[in-house]
Amino acid sequence: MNDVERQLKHALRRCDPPANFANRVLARVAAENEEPALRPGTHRFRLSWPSLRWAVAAIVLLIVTVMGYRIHERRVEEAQALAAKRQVMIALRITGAKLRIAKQRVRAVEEGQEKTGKTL
Amino acid sequence: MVFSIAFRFLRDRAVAEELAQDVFLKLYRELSRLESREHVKFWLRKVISHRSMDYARGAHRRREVALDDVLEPAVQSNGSDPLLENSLRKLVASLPEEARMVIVLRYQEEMEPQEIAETLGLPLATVKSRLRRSLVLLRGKAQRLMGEPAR
Repeated sequence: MNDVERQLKHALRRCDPPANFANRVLARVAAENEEPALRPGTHRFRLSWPSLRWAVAAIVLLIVTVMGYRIHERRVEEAQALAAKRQVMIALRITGAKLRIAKQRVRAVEEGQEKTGKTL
Repeated sequence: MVFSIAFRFLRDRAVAEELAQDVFLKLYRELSRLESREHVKFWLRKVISHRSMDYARGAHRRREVALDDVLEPAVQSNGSDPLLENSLRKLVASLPEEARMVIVLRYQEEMEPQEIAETLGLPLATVKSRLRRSLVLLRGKAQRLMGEPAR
């Protein structure tokens, strides 16, 4: 062992803990022993509480998602029904207009025939 | 032993006491698992070493402890130079955590490199190399500090 090692050994020699160190450790041990014992089942509940909260949050999220999707679906269906109704109305209007034109033409043809018969 | 390892490593009396108390509380909880007096001694050294190094790494990140500002405890000097001792302790404190703990265990606890390797969970070669490098470093720094060659 050389000088530096000897000096190190001396400089790093063991030092005593502060006064009452042992008493403070014993007090902490005693405090830990005095903590009330948990009833059977309580421990498990306390351990699972965070999991339970996550489960509730997940269920709420699921319900909100499903309801949101249903509302969205209903709105899409309503929009599709409205569009279909509009198309039917337009189709009926077009059909009515065409029928009127056809009726007018038939009437015109009938009137023309009547005039020709009278002149003959 | 437990308080002393933490204190020599961290140079903070309050933190060393807190860590030492934690270790003794942990010992109380795990006493039934320990088989012999030697096992308890090994366990105490191991746990306080790791706790101290973990704390130092955290404190290094937080920059909470200014090592040069920490007061040394009043210890009997036994005729040696207190200034030299204090300088050596400061030099040891400037070493990286692992190397510092190797030095503390070697020169405070007088543990063999094999025992240090087992305590810190390091390969024996690593412990020997840390010890050798740290001594070279400390010798060089001590020479510069004292202005005289240290053998």
